[in-house]
Amino acid sequence: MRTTRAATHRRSKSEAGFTLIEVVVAFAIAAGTIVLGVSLYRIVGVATQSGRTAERDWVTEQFLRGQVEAADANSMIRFALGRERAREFGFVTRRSAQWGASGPPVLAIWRYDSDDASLRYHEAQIAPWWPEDRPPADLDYEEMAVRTHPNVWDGRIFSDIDSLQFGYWDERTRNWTQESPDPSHLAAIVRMSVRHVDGSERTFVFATNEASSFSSRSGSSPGAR
Amino acid sequence: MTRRAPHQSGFTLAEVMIAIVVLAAAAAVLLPRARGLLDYAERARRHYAAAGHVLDRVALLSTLDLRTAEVKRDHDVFTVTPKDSNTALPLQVSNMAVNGSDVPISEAPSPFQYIAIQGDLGHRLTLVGPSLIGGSR
Repeated sequence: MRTTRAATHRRSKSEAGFTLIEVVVAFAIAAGTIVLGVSLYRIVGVATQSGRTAERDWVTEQFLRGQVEAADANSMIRFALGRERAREFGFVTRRSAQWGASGPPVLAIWRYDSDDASLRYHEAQIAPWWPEDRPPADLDYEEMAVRTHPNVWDGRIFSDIDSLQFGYWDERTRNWTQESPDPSHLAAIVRMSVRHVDGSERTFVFATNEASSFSSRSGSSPGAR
Repeated sequence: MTRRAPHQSGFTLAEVMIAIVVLAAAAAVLLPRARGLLDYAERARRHYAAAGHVLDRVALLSTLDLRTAEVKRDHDVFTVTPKDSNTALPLQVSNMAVNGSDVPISEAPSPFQYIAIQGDLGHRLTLVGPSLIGGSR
């Protein structure tokens, strides 16, 4: 009996556990593996997110370019549905976020939301069957800008914005203005200057179909000089 | 190397060293490649920004005032540089070749011309538009 108990307490050679050195080495290898795995996971995650963000911003930028290019100057004149301000640009366009280029005209509003540090996009449909004799008050800009139903798309398109300012090219003065009092007016070129919270800056320039890209002014053929 | 007896369990120093070396080699190979992914995302961002900048310059074309622009001729390519600081976009204008017939721009302007815009990262966008530059005669 005694012999048996003593044998139980005494570690035999075949029951050898790990020495301190072995445990430390095992921990070190395990820690190294974990650190390597976590680093890889984090780097790949950040890279994927960064790539997706860049691609999404590019697609958004191209959508905005196409939307300005498809601006409907006639509808703006007819319904007086324009808004050219330093922090808000509203215009009628034939390119919609909901229906692409094949749907009804929409009132698109780009608005800088300083509280949310973002550029918000609001889109309200203008029914193509709108009666000719309908009073223009039914197409009120303010009412459409807050409309939530039906056929309205509203959301954030750019975020982390420290400041944003729109500018509008005035062909008469050949300079940029920050706002136009005429709601039926559509600037040929719209500039959007963005400063992000990380300090990076970017200025986008959008041309409407009012911009005659290659027509030189009369009597301005420089090659004849 | 001494042969391990059957009752001796555990790792030898050589085994542990090999494991550590393999782990270090894997880290040395994988981490720089993973960082390369970050660089790729940054390159993509710079590329998008540069391409967008070229499109910005295209949009600014309508603000181009040819009356005040500086025009220089180098053989059959005209370089138009606006004086207006707002639209500092040098354009290279050349005649459009139709059916292989390439008339020098100095002889006669073609109805449509090539207008090339240079981007920041070496991007070059060539547009075809109504004649910007007339003949010198």
